[in-house]
Amino acid sequence: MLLLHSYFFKEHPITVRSSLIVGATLVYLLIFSLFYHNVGDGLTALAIFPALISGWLLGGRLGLVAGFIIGLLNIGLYFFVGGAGSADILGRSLPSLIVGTIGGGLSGWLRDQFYQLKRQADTVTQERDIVRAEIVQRRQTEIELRHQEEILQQLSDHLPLMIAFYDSTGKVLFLSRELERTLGWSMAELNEIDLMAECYPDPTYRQKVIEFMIAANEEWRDFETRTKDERLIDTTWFNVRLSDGSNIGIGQDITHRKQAEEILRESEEKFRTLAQTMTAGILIHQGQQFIYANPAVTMMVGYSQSELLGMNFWDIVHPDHQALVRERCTARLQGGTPPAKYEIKFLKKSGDIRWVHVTTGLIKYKGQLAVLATVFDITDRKAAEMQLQTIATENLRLARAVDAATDGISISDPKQPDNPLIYVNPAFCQMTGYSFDEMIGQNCRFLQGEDTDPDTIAQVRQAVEERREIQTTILNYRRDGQPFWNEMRIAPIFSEEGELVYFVGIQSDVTHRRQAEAKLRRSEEKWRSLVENSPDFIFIINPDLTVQFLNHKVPGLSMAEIIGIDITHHVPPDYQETARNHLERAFQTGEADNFEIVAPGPNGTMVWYQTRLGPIKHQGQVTALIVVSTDITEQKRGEETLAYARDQAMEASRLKSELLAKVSHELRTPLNAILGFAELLDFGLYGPLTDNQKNAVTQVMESTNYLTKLVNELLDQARLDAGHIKLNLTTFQTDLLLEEVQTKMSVLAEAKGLQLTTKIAETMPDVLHSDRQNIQKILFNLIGNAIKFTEQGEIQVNVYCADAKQWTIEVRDTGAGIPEHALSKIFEPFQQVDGSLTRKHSGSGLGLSIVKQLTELMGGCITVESKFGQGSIFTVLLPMHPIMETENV
Amino acid sequence: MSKTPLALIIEDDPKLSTIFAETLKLAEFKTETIADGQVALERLTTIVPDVVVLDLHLPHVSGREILHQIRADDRLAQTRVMIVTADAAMADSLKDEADLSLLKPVSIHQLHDLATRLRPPDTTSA
Repeated sequence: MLLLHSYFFKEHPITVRSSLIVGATLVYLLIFSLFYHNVGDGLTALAIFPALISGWLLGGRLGLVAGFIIGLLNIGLYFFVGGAGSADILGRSLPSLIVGTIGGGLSGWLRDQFYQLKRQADTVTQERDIVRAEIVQRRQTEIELRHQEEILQQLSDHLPLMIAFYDSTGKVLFLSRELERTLGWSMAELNEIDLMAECYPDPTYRQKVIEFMIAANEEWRDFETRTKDERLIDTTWFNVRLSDGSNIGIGQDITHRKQAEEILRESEEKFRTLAQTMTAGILIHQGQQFIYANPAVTMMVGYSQSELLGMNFWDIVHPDHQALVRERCTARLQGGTPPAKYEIKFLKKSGDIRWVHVTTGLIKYKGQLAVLATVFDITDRKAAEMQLQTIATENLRLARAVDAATDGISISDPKQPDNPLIYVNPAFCQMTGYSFDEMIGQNCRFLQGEDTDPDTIAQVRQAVEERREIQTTILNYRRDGQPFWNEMRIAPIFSEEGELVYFVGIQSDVTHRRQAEAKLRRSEEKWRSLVENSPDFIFIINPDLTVQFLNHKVPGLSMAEIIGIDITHHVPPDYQETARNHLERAFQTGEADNFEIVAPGPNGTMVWYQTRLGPIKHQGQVTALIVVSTDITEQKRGEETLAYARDQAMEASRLKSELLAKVSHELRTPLNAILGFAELLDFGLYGPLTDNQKNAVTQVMESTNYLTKLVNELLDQARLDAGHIKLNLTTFQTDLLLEEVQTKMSVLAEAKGLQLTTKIAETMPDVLHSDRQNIQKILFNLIGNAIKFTEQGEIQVNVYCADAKQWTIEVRDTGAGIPEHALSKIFEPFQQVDGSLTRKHSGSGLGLSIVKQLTELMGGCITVESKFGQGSIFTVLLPMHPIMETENV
Repeated sequence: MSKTPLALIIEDDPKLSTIFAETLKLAEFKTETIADGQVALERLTTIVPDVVVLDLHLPHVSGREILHQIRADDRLAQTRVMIVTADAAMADSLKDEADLSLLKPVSIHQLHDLATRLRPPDTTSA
């Protein structure tokens, strides 16, 4: 039923309704088709059902149309299914149409009516529900309002706020209890009085208050309000305008706060004044910077207050103490308890240093911890302390110095009888050999002895009596009786009041010095004597070239004309520049130097001086020059003579060589004439000669040959002397050379009945590279000599080669020999052994000298061995020159 | 066919030129003597001596110059020059240029031997 009801009494969408119609129609068609032949005409009644359903579903006029259509359909069905004839058509179709149409229309009408009624009933029900809900809501609102009112009442009653509620006309609607309590006026009394006039009697002031209230700009403002009992209290007010134009004024009695503020202000004023005027510095430091610094601080550090406020505590602290301050400051702010007082250095803006005593503590500033520091400038105190310390150190140092001094130091007290010693230092003990205890209490005179000079003692006593300083050297005696020279200085010491308090003595043992001085004096005397007696002029010259010292007088000049005068003034003009240059250079370089000058001497002579400069240095600087001028005139003359003699000798030698060459040249032509004619005579060109004539011609020829030889030797010597003979190296065959010599010399040897043999050793090279002509001359000379001095026997010439570097010519004879004493002179020119021999064996005496010179010219040497009466051996050693391959023999 | 060789003696000392001439004659030379350098040079343009005995110190033209002229003259290519001088240094310096260089005094034997050696090969000897 419920389902049916829900289907039929609810407004369904048209699709649902159409489905129902189609469904009903189909059911009807099915039933009609199945049951037509059984039921027959009864089916007409059945058409009423789809019509009723369609009408209900479609309602009204649409139901009527649907019923009619269904009637038509029913008629169609009769025709179609039953095949009914026309006879039945009216009987069957009309009831179908009528039933369908009426059924559909009726059903539709009923439906419309039903729904209309139903809608009306729904509307009434809804309205009733709304009313009910409104009633419930209003009741709830009322409860809430009452609750809120209660809250407000409670709030207004218990809040320590004065609250006044007044409408847009200014009429007071409500006053909180606090307001009543504070101002003394109750709500009930407001009908009788003007609250504003009571509270603000001054109209101008009141007007200001009213304007503030009207403005309601939601800000707090302080007013002075009069209470009922005519007290003036400080109030502060806040006005709010509500949407309906009414106002709420909220106020507070701030009299106490104002008073407290005033007290605080006064207190702060006091504190500030104190802080601003006190000499102690006050700093407040929070976080990373100062938040307060009083003028004393600015004075101390030289930064302005505004500068300081941007700075850190440790920025004004000297670097020596920055770490300490930073550490302590941070520790304190973190709850630590580092020492609260300390002394540090501040670094002023100017860079100066101030010593300060800092006392730190913690305060609360703006809810956070801050460090409050009180700072006292203790720079002066520190300076005083340091000065004291310096004085103490100085005293200590002095005491130590006195103890450590190498001079003896003693202090005596003249206030006591006999002026006894009250202090002696270790050096004095050591000097005298007495101990400290032995000396203390004694008068100094106990050190004197028998040889102490009484005059000196008297001088010292007098000075002590006259309270003045004295310095002297006195002979004292050591404890062991040994005397010593005491160089002492005694000085009186006076107090600030001028009272003589002490005598201080400073003593030195100068025994060694006095000995040294004596030694020095003796030494100086020695040197002085040496200098003064020196024939040289010895000057000491200052850097400005003035003379500081001269050892003895210069003839013709007084000392005053020399000492202090530029030394170069006394130098002849020609040498002044030279002398000045040398002197200045010696001063600059510090090196010894010497130079020579010529100065006019007595009687118009010239004197040569050799001047030697020796720098005197002090700390690397040449402070003076020692100038020693020695008269070297004699020496110079000697040198000149010598040079002249040498030149003369050289010239003579040259002339001799020239003369010899000339003579040799000039002699040769006549010699040739003599020899030529003699030989022609001998040849018989001018007719046959008698024996006597022949003999005479032979004599002429021999003499001529001798003369020729002499001339040749003289010429050779002259050329050797003049250095005209030069080596002329050629390559030649050894045997040919010796053959030539043998051939020539054999004639002479045989003429004397002597045998001449030449031997060439196998070791000798076939070819030699040497000066052939010189070797030939050497051989001719040596062999000629051998022949000359040998009366019987033989002459041997041996040529051999000792090694690859040299070869030897040996000429042996069995002649007269040479006495031993003559051997060393035999190679000197013009030397012959024996006068008798010379006469017999005439010769220039140059031969061996020339041989020696030629040998040496070729780089060789000659030696001789001889036994007087037995013969001689001449040995010539010559260097072996290598043979050039390109040279032809 | 033999031909007698010619020796020209250029020597300003008449005694020496006599000795040299005599010696050369003994050595089978025809001889001619001249005492003046200039004359000698002129003469040498016309004759071709086989041997010249040449002194160096001569009037007008020196022996050295004459030697140079001879050496420069193709016509005199076969002429042998024998220097005979008293100047040892000069003798030495010209010894390579001359065929022989002798230092006075010269023995006639030496002169004779040397002159004989210098004779041209196609001439006869005594």
